[in-house]
This record gives sequence, C-alpha cells and structure tokens, in this order.
Amino acid sequence: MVSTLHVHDLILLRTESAVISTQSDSACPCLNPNQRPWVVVRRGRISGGLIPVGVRGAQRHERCAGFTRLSDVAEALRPDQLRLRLAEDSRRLLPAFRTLSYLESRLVGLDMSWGPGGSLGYELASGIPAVHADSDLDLILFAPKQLDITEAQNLWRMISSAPGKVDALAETPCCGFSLEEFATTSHRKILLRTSEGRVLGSNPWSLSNGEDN
Amino acid sequence: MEKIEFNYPEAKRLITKRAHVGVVGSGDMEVLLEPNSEEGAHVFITTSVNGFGDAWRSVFDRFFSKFDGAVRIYINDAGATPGSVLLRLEQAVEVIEQ
Repeated sequence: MVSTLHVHDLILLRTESAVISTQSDSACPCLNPNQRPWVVVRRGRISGGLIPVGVRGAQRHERCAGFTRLSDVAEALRPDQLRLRLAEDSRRLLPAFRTLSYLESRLVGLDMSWGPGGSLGYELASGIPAVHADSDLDLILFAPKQLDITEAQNLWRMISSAPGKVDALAETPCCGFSLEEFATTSHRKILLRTSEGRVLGSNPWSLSNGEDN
Repeated sequence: MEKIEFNYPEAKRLITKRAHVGVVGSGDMEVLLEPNSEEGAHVFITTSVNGFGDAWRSVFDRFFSKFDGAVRIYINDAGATPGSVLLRLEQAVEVIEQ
C-alpha cells in the first residue's frame, strides 16, 4: 500500500518503538505512548530501507529526528490528501485553519498539487492538537514542471493575500524552495533544500555545478 | 521569541553597500546587512526559537573570523539551522561585495 514516500508525508507507524533516534543518548522524548505514532518524512535520502522522519513533541524543543523502516509504516498521507481532511469543529476558527480554507477557495483552478505541512498537516493527519493561535500556515506546492517567474509571482501574490501568514514551500523533483523568495528576490540565487543539504542556486529544477552559466 | 546581540569591535573595514536576503519561513531567516556608521560590527538577532544563544555566538565567531566589515546585521530568524545561517550570511556578503 505504501510504495513511495516523499518529504512532508505524514506516516502512521505500527508501533512507537519503530523510530530509531539519531541521537545516541536516545533523547528523543517525543512520541507519547498514549497517542497514535504519527511522524513526518524529513528531507533526506532514503537508503538501506531507512526513511528519515521527524517526531513532533508537545513543545517545539521536543522535536527530534530519527529513522524508520518502510515495513513499520501502517499508513501514509500526502499534503494534498491532508488538505481534504477536516479539522475538528472547535479548531476551525484558528487563524491557520481559516487561512487554509481561504486558499482552498482561491486556488481552485490551480494546476498543481498542494496541501498543508507543518503543524496543520500533523493535526489533520493525527487529530492531535498541534496548531496554535499564532501558527503560520505551512503550505507545500508540488511543482514537477518549471514555473516561470511570472507564474510564480502571480501565485505568490494570491497566496500572500490570505488573511494569515503563509509559508509556501515549493517542491521540485530536485529540491524544495521558498515560493516567496523565488517570486520576490532580486538576487540570482535562492536557498535550495536538497536531500544532501542546503545550497544556494539559481535553478530549482536543475541542480548542477554549472550555476554560473 | 528571544533577542540576542553581539559586538565585534575588530571588524573595521569600510562597507558601502547593503544587502537584504532570505525570507522569514520555517527553518529559514531574513538578513539585513548594512554599513555601520561607527567602527566595529553589531549583530541584532530576533529568533522564534529560544535557548540557542551559544550556537548563535559560535556561528558569528566563525563568520567574523573571516569577515572584517564594519556592518550592522539584523536577523529575523524562524528556526534556521547553523548551516543555513552561514549560507545566508555568505549570500549577504556576496551581495555587498559584488
């Protein structure tokens, strides 16, 4: 059922002991044994059958990084699937959820797959409250084909007109990047988040060393 | 939310340009780098993640071991990793030294 996983996917593990901590002191405190073990796929290379995952605790400082095995994944949800899930009634008035429903109405014709990440994605997947009154909306946009600058600017203009702050990350087959930075910067290079780490580059759809062409 | 400041009095080289790079988004930060009217460099950080003063100190110690410009640096941080902080600082320096 779970054949391919990508960064930002929320996954439900079969057991909370399925997270292998990257910290030798096993200080990964976060998975609450009373809650179902949902974790997020981190950016990084999947190798040796190990998937890099992030664990979200109740507090920001309780986040930690680890790995899990594909065979321990019970269920996986992509951001565009999470978008279609409804928050609990009592949570829908939180600014970040209102911003999401505003964008749902404005991005109807968008020829891209998109959805929430961050605390919203986590809450929509798990049902565990994670969004706060001051949470931004982390938005993931999948851009397998190159966006030209005008398209990106129009998209960012629409997204940034939302009532709350939106942190929009575009994902290409090579990397992730900030839509705001791509659309508004006057510099040639932007920050590209690759599975090998972060670099400055000019083309998020083609990572090469020939940046200065 | 935490505010942190550092001073690097040995950074005295005259700088004439300013740079504004980065964005305030998850795991990233915005940097404004501008000439300082006095000698020395001053760093003003506003970060959404508390308790990393020592990590910021070591990043800036490393940065000012190579960069000697008399600048004011304003940082608006949303949880950038030390590696991203250095990338953004290098990018800002590239802009002012173009």
